[in-house]
Amino acid sequence: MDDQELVAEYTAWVAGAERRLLRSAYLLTGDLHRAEDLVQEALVKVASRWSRLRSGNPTAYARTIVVRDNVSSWRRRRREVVGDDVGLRDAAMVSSDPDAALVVRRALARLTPAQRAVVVLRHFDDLTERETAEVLGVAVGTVKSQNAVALERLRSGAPELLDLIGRTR
Amino acid sequence: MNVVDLRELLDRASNRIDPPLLLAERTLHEARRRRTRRRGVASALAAAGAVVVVIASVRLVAGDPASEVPPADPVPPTATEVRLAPPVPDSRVQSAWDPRDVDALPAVDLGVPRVLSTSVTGSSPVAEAVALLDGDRPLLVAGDGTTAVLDLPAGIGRWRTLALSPDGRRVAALGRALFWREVEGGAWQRTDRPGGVDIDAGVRWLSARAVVLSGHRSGVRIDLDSGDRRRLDFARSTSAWAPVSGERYVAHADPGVRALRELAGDQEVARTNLGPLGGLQRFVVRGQAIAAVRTSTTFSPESPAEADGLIALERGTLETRAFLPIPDERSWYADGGALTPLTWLGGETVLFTIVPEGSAAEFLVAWDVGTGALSRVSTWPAAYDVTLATGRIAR
Repeated sequence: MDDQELVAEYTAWVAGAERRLLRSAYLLTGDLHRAEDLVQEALVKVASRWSRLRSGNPTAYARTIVVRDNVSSWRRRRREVVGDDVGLRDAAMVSSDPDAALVVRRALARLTPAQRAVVVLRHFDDLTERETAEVLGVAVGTVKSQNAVALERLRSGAPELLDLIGRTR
Repeated sequence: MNVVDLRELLDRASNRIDPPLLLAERTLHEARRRRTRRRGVASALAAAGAVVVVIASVRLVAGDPASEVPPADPVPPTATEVRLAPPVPDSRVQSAWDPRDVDALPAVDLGVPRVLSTSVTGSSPVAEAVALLDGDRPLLVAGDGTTAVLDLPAGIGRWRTLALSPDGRRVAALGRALFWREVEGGAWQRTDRPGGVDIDAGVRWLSARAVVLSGHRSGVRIDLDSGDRRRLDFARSTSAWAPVSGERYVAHADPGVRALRELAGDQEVARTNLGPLGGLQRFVVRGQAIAAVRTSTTFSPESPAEADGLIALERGTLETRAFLPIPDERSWYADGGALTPLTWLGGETVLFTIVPEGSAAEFLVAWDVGTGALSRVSTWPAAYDVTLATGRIAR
């Protein structure tokens, strides 16, 4: 395969994967600019290794880079519960339902980065427990326990999330 | 809550997000830039043709690609010297090490407890700390293993980051403002957060009397005694940089430019293009020695010299003193941030931290760059963000 064909193949793959990766990164970070940085850097790494990755699962590779870069960054700049520094106007940029976007953002911010990653990978990206474990570099049992703890934390610590679900049913 | 509800909600909460324009073209261009730097002039010329193909395809899609194409490498107006780093010689490549074997390493006592406990063992503050563990509650650990809770300053806010000074005597806390105090106690001192330092900035000690706040766009050096502030554009949280001494720094060049810069204050005085070295991240400097995480930029690494790993270099020339390859097929260590050089001990030993893939623990490991010998120094739960008093280790 010549260089032009590789470029075309890579471009086609990005077109199919970029939006999902960006939405996933946003849910991981709660910050659209940060999410764009994470996805862009992950795609550069995929592009650098495209000839090796193209026959495998480049989306899984990109997702892994996004998740790990985010956890790594969080460990360098630990933060507590996210503040109310995002308003409805910002939320309207990411969602057709800004109220829901704000509630989800605040609820996810109550989780640790690992718990948050498990929730996003399992319940937004629809990964299996094994796939989630591979992305995070942990055992399947750890994914199970993190998922259970995270969901319980959302139930007990984010009642507005339950209200929202009830309101929309 | 059932998971179907959660899935619907996560979907709804992000359903208006669209990727930036021309993301494929921009990332491909950036990948080519990084790669062509490594391959040198000849292959750069060859790759340029392909870049033209990319830009041409952009024109078809967007019509006005000019603003989307990353700018050319800036020419540093104050640079006095530009060099090209040599490749890693095979003779300097040591045996590859799999960090999952860290438990098998011999232990060495450098004055850091073998295990940093997250259980509070002391009822009074420690006088000097060797480590600060930042988790649900921040903990200070003394050299004898005593652990005490660090009470955070009032008014720090919901977002914060902590750092222990290299001598283990002071702690800084950055939140709504910058706070600092002696480890053994006393009142927190406070100064306003400088303008332009965003909310998720980090704090790093340069000495016992000065810190740098690193934000997304720039950094600010603050002298705690005088209150003097100096903007350091290179000291961003997203860019690798390290203090040398006084006002000298080593910093990675702008994003997309694989070069290491030597700076006096904020002025660039020398530059070395990384070329065949690949990428360098998270480096530490002592005198003429640099240690860094080396990331391969080759499509298909064919030899250990092209792998990811830990590298020791001569400052200025970037000649390789030693290279420790670390198998990293899934980009856990280098790209994933689980491998971080911490400091030099003397001129021959590098201390680094590593979270072995699949492990819930982080380890402090000593690497003798001359012999390649590795020793296990300490460990702690990986969920904690740890700063170590590098000036106290093996003092």
